[in-house]
Amino acid sequence: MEDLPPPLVVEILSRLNDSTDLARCRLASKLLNSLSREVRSVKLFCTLSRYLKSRSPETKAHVTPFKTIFNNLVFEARCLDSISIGVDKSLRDISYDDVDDESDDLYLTDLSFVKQWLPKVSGELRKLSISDFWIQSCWRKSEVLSFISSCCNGLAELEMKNAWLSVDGLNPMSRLTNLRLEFVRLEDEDLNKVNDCFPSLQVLNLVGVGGLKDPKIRLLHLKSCLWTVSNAPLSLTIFAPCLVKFRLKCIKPKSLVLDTPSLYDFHLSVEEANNFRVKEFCHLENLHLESSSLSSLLGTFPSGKSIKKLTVDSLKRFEALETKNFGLEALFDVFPNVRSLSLGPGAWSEAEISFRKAGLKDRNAMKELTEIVAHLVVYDIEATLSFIYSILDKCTILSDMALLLHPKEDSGVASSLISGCTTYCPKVKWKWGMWKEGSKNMWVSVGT
Amino acid sequence: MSTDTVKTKKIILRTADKEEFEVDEAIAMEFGTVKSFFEENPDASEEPVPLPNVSSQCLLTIIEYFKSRGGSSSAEDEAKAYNEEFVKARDNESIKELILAANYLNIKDMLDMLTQAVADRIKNKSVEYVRRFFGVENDYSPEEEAELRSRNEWAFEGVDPDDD
Repeated sequence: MEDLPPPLVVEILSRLNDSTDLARCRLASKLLNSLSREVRSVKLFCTLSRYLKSRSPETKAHVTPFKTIFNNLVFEARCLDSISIGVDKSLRDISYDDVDDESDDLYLTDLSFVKQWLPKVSGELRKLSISDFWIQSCWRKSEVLSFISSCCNGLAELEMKNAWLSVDGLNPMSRLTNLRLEFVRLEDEDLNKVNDCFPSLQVLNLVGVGGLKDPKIRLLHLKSCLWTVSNAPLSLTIFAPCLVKFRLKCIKPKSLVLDTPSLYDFHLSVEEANNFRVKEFCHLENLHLESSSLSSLLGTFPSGKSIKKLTVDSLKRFEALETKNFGLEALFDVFPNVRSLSLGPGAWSEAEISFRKAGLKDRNAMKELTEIVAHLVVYDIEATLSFIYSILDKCTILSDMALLLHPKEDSGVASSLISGCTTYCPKVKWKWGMWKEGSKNMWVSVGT
Repeated sequence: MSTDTVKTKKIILRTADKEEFEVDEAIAMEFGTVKSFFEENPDASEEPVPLPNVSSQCLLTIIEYFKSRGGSSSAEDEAKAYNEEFVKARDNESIKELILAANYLNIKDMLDMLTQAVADRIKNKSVEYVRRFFGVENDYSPEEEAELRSRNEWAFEGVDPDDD
């Protein structure tokens, strides 16, 4: 059996997601040792077990400090274009109350630490990721961003997690195309520094970024954005003429202004959208909306003639269900060209209640619909079936319908549902499954 | 007599062991090597394309992979699940052979998938496992090995026991 040629071995070694495995491979043979130096990345993560051993009195003398291991790896490598350093997820979940830790051994955004190794690699570095240890980083502001921006001229991707970052002295990084900040406190209230210093960004992820007041994203080349904003009622503005894919999750922003004319794929989750100003989307084809106030959100949404694939869910809690509900007709008024519709459990419940009160009004747009996926919540199987039949009557060219039940429904419900639907409309291709909060949908096959 | 209005074009591929396989053009064009062959020899459409570095067993496996995977329109999770199943069933030797074939045939996606699968397999494994997989002998002297080991001692916590 032929051995693999060296370039393929290097390709495999480069795909190891931790340099610990790479270090072990070095001992296999002299050839593997020298090929391992061709790997152009260092990826090192501190595990919970290493953390605990470094603190336990019996073992701590034998544990090499994490930062020392990392420094050695960087200095031994021939040429690096990617560096990832961080703490394992298990360490991220440690509560501040469980641990009394005032050390620096895992304070990774410490400027004096970064100055030890970054200058050696800054010329060729393309990708840098630092996932700090929150317990040691949350109480001190780091000037590391300014340092990175001054020496890494070729950096294309930057990821920072679990840190408190200052933007003082930040220099422009014209080659940076991807920026990901997660659980970071950023001292850039309106995102002015980010906009000014990273003008070439194509991908921007801001997940749980604190320290913002009235953030405005203003990026001319941005193509894809993920933005999750937690509690404070910030006003959110985004001006991105090339943005194609946008996922925005927020709660009750004071205002929401979107100037994103090229948007094709939009996932918006907002409890209450006050002052929602958005220019018409000419290219939007995929839309996913989640809200606690679906009917009022639909009222302020600009007409979506281009939308072909629509997913809708309600975040409303069950007690509030009796107030102003959204009916299925409302969807077709705003989105007349939908071909494929997916309804989350909240949206289905609201629509069913509206149907029971006032029936389902006909809309021409319903005759364009070819596919429906519905996550059902069944209180009364007859009522649910009656709603489904009404939908089948009005959506005359429907070819595919998928219905999902929650596992807590008993099997009687499932069999009534399946037999009712397949008898009423046998020409539709039926698909059955189960949905559960926080899990992926599971499809089941039913004997024909 | 063919009842199709458009007949799917077939391409003939000849493997190292002189076996010939008739393959849909769409699949054959996924192989960079075959694609280049036709670009360089535009009149050769009827003749078998020689693939002297690929065994018939290997080619059969690769053709099956493409047939069962479905079009590129299949959902990302479905494709991922299919890839996982494909790899799980195969032992290290056959994966190595497929890597060499995918490399020779210049099938980038398949090669990425296979090399990643190998990296995932040697993750957390012992030094012996890695030696056996790559077919290399330990050529360190005892002193060299001891010195290298002590410098990399940190890497030896929490290693999987070998399973084969």
